[in-house]
Amino acid sequence: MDATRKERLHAAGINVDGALERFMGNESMLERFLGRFLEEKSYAALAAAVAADDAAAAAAAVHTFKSVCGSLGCDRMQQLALAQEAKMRADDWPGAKAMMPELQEEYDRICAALRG
Amino acid sequence: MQTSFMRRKGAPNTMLIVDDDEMNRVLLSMIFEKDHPILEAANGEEALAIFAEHKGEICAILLDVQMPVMDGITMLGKLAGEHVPARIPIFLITGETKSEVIQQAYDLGVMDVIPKPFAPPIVQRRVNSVMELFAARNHFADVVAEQTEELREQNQQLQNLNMGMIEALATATEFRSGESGEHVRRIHDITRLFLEKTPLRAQFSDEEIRQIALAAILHDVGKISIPDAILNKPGRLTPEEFAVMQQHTVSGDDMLTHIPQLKGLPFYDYARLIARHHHERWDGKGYPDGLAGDDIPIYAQIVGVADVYDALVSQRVYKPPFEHGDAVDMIINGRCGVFNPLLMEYFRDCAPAMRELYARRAD
Repeated sequence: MDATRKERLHAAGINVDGALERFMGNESMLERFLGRFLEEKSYAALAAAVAADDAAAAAAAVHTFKSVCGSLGCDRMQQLALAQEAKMRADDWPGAKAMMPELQEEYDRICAALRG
Repeated sequence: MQTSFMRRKGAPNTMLIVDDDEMNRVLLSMIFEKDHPILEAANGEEALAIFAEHKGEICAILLDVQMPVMDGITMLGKLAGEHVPARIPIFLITGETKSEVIQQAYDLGVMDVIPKPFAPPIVQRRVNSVMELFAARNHFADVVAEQTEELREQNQQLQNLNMGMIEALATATEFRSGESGEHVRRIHDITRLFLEKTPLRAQFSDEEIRQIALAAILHDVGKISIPDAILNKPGRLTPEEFAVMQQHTVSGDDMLTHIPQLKGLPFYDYARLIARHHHERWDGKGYPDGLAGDDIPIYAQIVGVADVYDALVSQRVYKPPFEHGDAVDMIINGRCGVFNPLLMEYFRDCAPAMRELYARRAD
C-alpha cells in the first residue's frame, strides 16, 4: 500500500494503521477485505431492510456491518452503525431509519476513496 | 509472537473458530494458525457437527454470538449440556454489548468474553493464558489419576498377598489332616453363598461378606496344634483323644491372637470367632464354650453348617460320601447337632445352589 493511497483512505475516515494491526501486518489480506467492502453484503442487507421497513432484519444486518467496519478501521462508519443499532435496540425505529442517509453518505465516501 | 504454553504430547491442539463473517474467521485464524490447526464454522449448527467429528482434537472454541441458523448462545447451551466448557475453554468473541447476553454466556461456562474489533496480541494473550490453565489442570488431573491407579494396584497386590498367605495357612492345616486345599475353598464359597443368597444379605455389606468368607477358610487353623496320632487316627477317637481334638477351636482362636500382623486386617475378629465357635450348636451342646442360640455369632453358625455339609458329602477314610439330598436331610433333622431353625430354612433354600457349586468344582 503506497503512501498516497494510505493518505486518501485516512482522509476518508479509515484508520489504516489500526486495521493493519488487526490483520497482523498482512497488507494484501487487508486489501482483499477492503475490496470486498465495496459490495459489502451486510450493508446491502441493511439498506434493503430499512427500505422494506423490516426492523428485525435491519438489526441483524447493522450488527454485522458494525463489526466489519470495526475490523477494517472504518471508525466513523462504525460509530454511525453503532448509533443506529442503539436506536433500534431502544425501539426507536423512525430514529434509526432517519439515520440511513447519513450512513449512505459515509459508505459512499469510503467506497470512493477505496476505488481511488 | 511466541506462545508460552507447553502442550503435552497427544493433547488436543485444534482450534475451532465459529463466526458467520469470513473476515472475522480469517483475522482469528491469522492469530493462531502458526501454533494450531484451525477448523472454521459459519454458524452454531455447522460448528456442532464439526465438533462432534473432531471431538478429541479441539483445544479451544472461539465463538461469535450473532449468527444465522444457530446463534452462539444456543450452541453454548448445547455444549454446556454435555459439560464441554469444563473440559475445553470457550471464548466469546463478539460485538455483543448487551450485558445480560454476556452474563448468560458466563453462566453457561465461557472462560472469557473478548469484544470486537479485537487487537490480535490481546486476543492471543487472553486465549493462551486460559488454554495454559486448562492444559495445566488436565495435566495434574492425569497425574493424579495415574497415581491413584498405581496406589490401587499396590493395594490390590497387598490384598492378594494377604489372601495368599491366609489361604496358604489354611491349606497347610488341611494338608496335615490328609485333605486337599479344596475343603477350605468350598467352605469359603458356601459361606459366601449363605450371606449373599439369603435374607442375611441385608445385614452385611459387600466388603463384610468378602471378609467373613475369607475368615471362614481359617476355621480349622487350630488343627495345626493337634498331634498327628489323633488328627489322622483311622479309627474312632477315645473320649480323651476327642477332648484333645476339640481343642482345635480354642487353639485356632489363640493362634490368631498371636499373629500381630493379622490384628490389623478387617477379617481378624471374624476369623477368631469363627475358629472358636464353628462347633457350637444351637442347643448349647457344642464346644468349646457350650454357647447356645444367638450367643453364637451368626457367621460361626454358617461355617458350622458349611463344615458339616462338606464333611458329609466328602469321602473320608472312615465313610463313603453321602448324597446331597441325604446330607441336607441329616443336617435339617438334627443328626449332626441342632442348628438355628431360621438358618435351616435358609439352608433348605440355597441347598440347590450349593449342590451346583459342588458339581462345578467337580468339573
